[in-house]
Amino acid sequence: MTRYLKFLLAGLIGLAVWTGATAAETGSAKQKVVYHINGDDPKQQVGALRNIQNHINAVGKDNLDLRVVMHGNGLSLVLLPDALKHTKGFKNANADAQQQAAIDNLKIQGVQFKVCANTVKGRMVNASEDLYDFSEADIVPSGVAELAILQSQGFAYIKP
Amino acid sequence: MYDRQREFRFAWKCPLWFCFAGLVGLLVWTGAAYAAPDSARQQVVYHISDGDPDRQRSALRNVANHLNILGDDGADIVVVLQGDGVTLLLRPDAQPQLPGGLSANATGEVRIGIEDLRLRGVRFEVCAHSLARRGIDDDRYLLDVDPADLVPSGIDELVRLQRAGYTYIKP
Amino acid sequence: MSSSNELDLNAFVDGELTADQQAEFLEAMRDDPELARQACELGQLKAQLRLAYASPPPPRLRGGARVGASWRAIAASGILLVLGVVAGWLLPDDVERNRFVVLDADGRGQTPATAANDETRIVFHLTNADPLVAAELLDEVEGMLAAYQADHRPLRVEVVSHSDGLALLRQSLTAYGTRIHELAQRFPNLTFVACRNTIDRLRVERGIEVRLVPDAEVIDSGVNHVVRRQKEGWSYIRV
Repeated sequence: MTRYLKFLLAGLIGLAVWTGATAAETGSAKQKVVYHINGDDPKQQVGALRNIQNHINAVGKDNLDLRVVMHGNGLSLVLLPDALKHTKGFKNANADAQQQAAIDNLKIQGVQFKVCANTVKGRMVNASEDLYDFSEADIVPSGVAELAILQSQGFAYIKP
Repeated sequence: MYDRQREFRFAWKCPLWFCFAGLVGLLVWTGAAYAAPDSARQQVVYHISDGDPDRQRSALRNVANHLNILGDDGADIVVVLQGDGVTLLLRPDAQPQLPGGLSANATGEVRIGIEDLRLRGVRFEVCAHSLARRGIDDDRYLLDVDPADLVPSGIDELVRLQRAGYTYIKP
Repeated sequence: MSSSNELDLNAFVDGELTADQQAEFLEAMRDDPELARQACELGQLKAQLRLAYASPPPPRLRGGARVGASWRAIAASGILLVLGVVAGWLLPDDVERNRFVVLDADGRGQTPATAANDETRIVFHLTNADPLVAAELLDEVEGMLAAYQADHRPLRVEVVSHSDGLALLRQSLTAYGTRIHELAQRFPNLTFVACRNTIDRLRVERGIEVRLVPDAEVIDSGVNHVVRRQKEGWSYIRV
């Protein structure tokens, strides 16, 4: 009886140590970061995308879970130039060929781009036609609420 | 059989069991502490340091949208006004006091927005330091600010709230 | 305690006594509370030792009835499991929060230290070139450092500048070189950090050789540094 219990004991210790170690590993191995974009200055947006690329270069794409949350004027990052005519409240639509290439490049490296449903609705954006490379999974109910939720899940916050 | 009973009695006297019970208690407590943030209300601090009325308006809209998602009872939101951001709560008669390039913005649509958010439970805190730096030394220029919400340093307050578990957002 | 009792005690805790010997030992413990206490302490010590050496030596094969061992084994395994889980949960967190990084290989910047739990740590993220914004930031930082120093409250501050914010730390552009130097001299718990990515980009794209004020430390990626600080429990203020 005791013999089996000792084996069981050893197993349990092993399990506990392993669990602790795995928890520690998953906790720190993948860096979780959310970038907040709500401005429409094209120069700043180019800078932000460059920040993200530099960040990936520094940490490695496999070690990062990186999200970009856009709301308000920030949607101009993925807004196609033709959409300026019929949308409301945008002064800039910055998703020209060059920016599209930069977005593609980041997406290939695993970056997720999220857009705020409030902005889409409030500014008469037809998401599937007006936003570059949009899919339904990219939409979040509220950009700022998403920022808070992600931070509560351990994401670090960056306003570039 | 007799042995086993005796040993059973002994086992309860042994401090090892108290340690065990204590550790189980600790584990349950730790688990509860970890689970708590999920079930508690979301705590968020918004930092406004920009004096541009358009940007301030859109920041207020962000807060309102955030509340719409969480429900008025689902979030504890504090807006800390610091730097040029203090102009959000300045009445129009503060205008002559202000340095060039700044406007007193608590007027019209913005004022309604602030009052609406206050009714929904949002607290606006103002940095006294930033006000003084901009020539405002009297709270009569402020839109109904409770003395408790006039904080000596906005930065210190932002740090204090973050350390207390608030999530930081700069709109 | 006699040495024969000590042997018995070890054998008892290891569950290696025969049923009769155990009964005898238990009887002895009932009459001698000190012996009972030692038995329990030894039990705990052995449990901790077994945790330290994650796999215990294989159990020796021995005959004889050892009915009573199950209670102790269950208690010990429970404690060890709990200890393991709690340690796994708590340790990495603490280690992460209390670590400080020296910013450059020459050992400049803030010395590595274990942070007191009540230490306040703030990372300011500056991306704006406006000198008025920078002036207000420096005033705020100085005010805080002085106030914390006067109250003997521990504080660490880093000002991380990148993109346009680098202007604050560029010899040719900054309006506050002397002020930065004075602050850095006066407060060892204040560090100015410049982003190497920004410096490299200015050289590649615009042919500018950036010269920094002597008090600036350089870090590979400003944003990555800010993220790391947040993970270490620093408060984040975007200027």
